[in-house]
Amino acid sequence: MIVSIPSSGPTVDSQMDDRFGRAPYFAFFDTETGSSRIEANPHAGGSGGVGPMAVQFLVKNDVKVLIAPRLGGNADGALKASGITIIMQNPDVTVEAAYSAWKKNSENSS
Amino acid sequence: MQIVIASGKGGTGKTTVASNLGFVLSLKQKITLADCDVEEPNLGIFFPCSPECRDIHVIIPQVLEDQCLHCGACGEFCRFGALTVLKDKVLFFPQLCHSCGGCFRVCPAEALEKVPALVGEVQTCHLTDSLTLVTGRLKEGDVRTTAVIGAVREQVKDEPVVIIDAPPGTACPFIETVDDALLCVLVTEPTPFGLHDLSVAVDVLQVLKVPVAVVINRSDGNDSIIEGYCSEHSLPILMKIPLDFTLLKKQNAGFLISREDPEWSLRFSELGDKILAHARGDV
Repeated sequence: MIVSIPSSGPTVDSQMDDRFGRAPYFAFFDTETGSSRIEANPHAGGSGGVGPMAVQFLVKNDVKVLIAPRLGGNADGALKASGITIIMQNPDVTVEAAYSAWKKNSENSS
Repeated sequence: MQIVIASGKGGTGKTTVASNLGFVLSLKQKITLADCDVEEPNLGIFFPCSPECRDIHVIIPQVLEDQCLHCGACGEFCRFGALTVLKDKVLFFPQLCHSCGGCFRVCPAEALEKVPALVGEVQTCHLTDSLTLVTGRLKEGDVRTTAVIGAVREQVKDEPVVIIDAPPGTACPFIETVDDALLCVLVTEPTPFGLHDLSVAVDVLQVLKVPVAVVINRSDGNDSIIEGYCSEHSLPILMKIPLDFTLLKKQNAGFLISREDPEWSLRFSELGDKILAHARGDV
């Protein structure tokens, strides 16, 4: 399963970005293999509608869970329709820490 | 001949200048006043009437899900994010759609149907034999201003002299209003804000290659902040309107100062002559 997190920088020890559609990078964690990668958000500098565009980007990358800060209305609607699970997270942590916290939490609850 | 009255900064007196100019010029020739401030059209306050209304639509896509391949072509193409293609459905966000028509072209499966969407109306009032008011009014809650502005400009394009009241700012609605105009008159005020927004508007108009003239409103006698800028950029200052509270009170009560006061009628008539001369390139 792929878990995605908006990131302010190109490595997993970067701070989580406090935006969704305009986050400069997205981190992708694979829960099965434990691997991670980061990709630049192709729509970060778009003039508008970047929320739904970012959702489309996540769908293309087979994301099932998004750990995100606040979301705009369009992004929220598109995410709900896409079936991606949204986990709200205060963005004052690194991407890696946000993922670890989510993983620990989901293991405990399962 | 289309002459745009604009400002960059809001609240500097665009509508004051456009309404009085249109009224005074119409005493001598056929004039069309066009209100392109479609989010908040207010020229009509000075010219109450019962308008003829015409609905304005844009074309938007409607997804035919049983024909859609979910290939993602439309979603990839739409730079406005209006179409989001998921694994088994397509989401459409009408408020993000710019009606560019690109999605219809890239869809390989004819899965997008063209449907009209109401965005506003154009209201027309024949006020006198020589004065017509055409007002664009955006549907409340809508954001597609340029479609309504375009409809107003299309309707008045063959009229001999059109005075256009522009929306504030210098973004898309302003550009849609002023593109291809013969002259843009920028109404400003002698303040740092006035100067800043004047200079932004001048920069945009230079790119669009629209000639510029300036009117200073709320002049308190020391307008050097604007005069210096205008002389540096070789922009003619066609008129100064003093900061006069008696004038403002009349205006705020809905009176047209050039209709009430012969002195102002004369001043706007002189402004009109100068503007027409500039627009014709006689200066």
